[in-house]
Amino acid sequence: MKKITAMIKKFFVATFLLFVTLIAMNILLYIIFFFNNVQHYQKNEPVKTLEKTSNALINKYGEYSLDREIEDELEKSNIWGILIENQTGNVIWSFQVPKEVPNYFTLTEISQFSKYYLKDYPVFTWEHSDGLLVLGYPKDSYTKMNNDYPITAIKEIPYFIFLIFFIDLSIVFLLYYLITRRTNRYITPVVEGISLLSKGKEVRLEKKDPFSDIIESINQTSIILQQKNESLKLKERNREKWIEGVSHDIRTPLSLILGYSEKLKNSEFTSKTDKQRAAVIVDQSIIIKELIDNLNLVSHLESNGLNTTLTSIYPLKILRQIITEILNRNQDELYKIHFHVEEVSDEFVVEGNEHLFKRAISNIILNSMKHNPTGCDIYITMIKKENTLEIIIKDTGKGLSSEEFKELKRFFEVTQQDISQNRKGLGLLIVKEILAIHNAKVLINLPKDGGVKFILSFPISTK
Amino acid sequence: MRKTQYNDCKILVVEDQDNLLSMIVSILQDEGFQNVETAQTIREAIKVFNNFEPELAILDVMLPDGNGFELLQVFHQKQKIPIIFLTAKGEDNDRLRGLSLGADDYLVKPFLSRELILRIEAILRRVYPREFIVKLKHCTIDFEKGVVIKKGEIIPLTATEYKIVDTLIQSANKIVTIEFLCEAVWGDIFGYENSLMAHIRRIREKIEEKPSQPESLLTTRGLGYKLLTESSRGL
Repeated sequence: MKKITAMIKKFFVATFLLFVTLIAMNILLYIIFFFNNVQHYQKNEPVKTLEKTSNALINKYGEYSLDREIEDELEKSNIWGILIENQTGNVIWSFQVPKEVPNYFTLTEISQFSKYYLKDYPVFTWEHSDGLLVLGYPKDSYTKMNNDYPITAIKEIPYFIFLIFFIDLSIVFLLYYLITRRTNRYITPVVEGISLLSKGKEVRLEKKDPFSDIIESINQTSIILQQKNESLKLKERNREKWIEGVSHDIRTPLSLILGYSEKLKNSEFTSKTDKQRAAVIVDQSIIIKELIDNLNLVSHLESNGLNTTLTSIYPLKILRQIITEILNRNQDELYKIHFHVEEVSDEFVVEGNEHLFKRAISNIILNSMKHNPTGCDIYITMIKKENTLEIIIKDTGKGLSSEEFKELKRFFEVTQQDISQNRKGLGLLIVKEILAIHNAKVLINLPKDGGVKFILSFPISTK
Repeated sequence: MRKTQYNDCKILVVEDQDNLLSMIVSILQDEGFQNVETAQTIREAIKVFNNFEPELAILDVMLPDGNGFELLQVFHQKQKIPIIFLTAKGEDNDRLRGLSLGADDYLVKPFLSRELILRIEAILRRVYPREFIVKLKHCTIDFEKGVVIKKGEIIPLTATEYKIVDTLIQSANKIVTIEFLCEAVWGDIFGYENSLMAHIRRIREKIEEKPSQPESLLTTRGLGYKLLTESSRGL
């Protein structure tokens, strides 16, 4: 934003300076040109003519005569001439002289016409051996300007120029200041409005000329954005409530199914085949229960996952809880769980949510177990690496095909994606969302001795 | 079919849905609980509570004339009996709310009946301990007197040792985490790990035949400890 104002200021200042410079240059050029021009002309006329005429005016046997050539030139240019004797002031020679011109001149009269005009004719004088040669030019051919300048005035010119320069500069600064104020008043709100718009915030600017059209557009855009946001939020809330409602309604009927099928399974009056069937009903009911639980959690996380309040949690304690619960439940010993801790104590804290953290880790472990129904070894390790806590979950099961592995990697790497492309089941989706809430990174690879290895890195809290 | 040792324990079940209520009652009865009363509304529950004086209550959270949390507070004003909540909501907040109000456990529907029974029994064992004599492989522990009886010799347990053994016996034959033990004995998990190890060593000296090769108090490396009992009754 500041850059735009600065740019505009620079633009105005540059224009102004350019303008001033142009004018100054023009004036300068004009003065130079004028004087050069004048000088050039002056060199030729009337100086040359005067010189020529004076040299050509010779006294032959008591009479002055002029070369025919010069006379022709003078005639062509309509120039008349007289020669005034120094001592007497009498005209001792004349050529084409107009009637008005007297034969005799006093000193005063000579002084006057040499400065100005003689009978409205512009006249020029030249020193002749016998007196003063005067050439009169046509009436409107020359104008005589007085060129007396007091030296003090000329001496003052530099100060004058400096003063003008100083005044110009002050004007520039004044204009600069005024333009800045103006810019701030008009352009700044518009630019700020656009910037706020880009951040998705609400914008309502006052419509002012000259930008009233742009401002109107910005305001409209903001209104539309806000509306879209609101309707999106509303949709999300509705969806979450709907999912909550449906899963709630499923729970009671499912409880009845599960409860009674368990009874059938355990009853001594049920036949062996019926017991097996009841066992299937029980297992499937549990699967449905887990699906609903996962569905609820995912829906909750999608809507307010990122708003989850984070507190200080103790990963070592939680991990021990998870593993102990699995071992205590796991009576068939199909899965051998190995737990190893390196340089980690209960003092290490992570910012997160205990329930969700437990959920994520459990899901990964349970996933390994589900993936290997005939049993396997599961190695769970917790290591401290600088300021991260690494939790490694590795199983020695059947692992994944390269296709499945690629899909799994991609699933965890991409942020928001089209589920239809890569549906990985709610369990892993929950893991992914929870890891994001905990600012954790996940790395998946296939170890050489088979199975799958998950490496989760959690930032250790500094609080 | 296992039969509980708490078959005469008075249990109150409050649930508004008929079939669910009868199912829970039949689960309890199958397990051997003979003394079960029911209610379907808060008003009814309070009446039954006052007359029946249950020792444990299983409450549904959503009831037609209020919620289970309110009922818990009404009960606890008269008698602080253990409460298990049943709910169709899986949300964290509800669970925390229930537990913070003083409930002992919280089960989300649908639940495995075995899960329900295990939790009921765990709570009853903790709140109304009946098993005062526990037989281990090489000794017997008398919880009432707080002593170990090994080869006719009576060895008293210190207060801390007693607390540790008591905590372990409540999850007998199951692993108990280091943190859980520390919290149960000292109320904190920091800095007590070494202390715990020292106490476990001393307990082994009292209850094991060969303390360096324990057969009753086992260590689960990296996780915690497990106490194996000889009793076949429910533990």
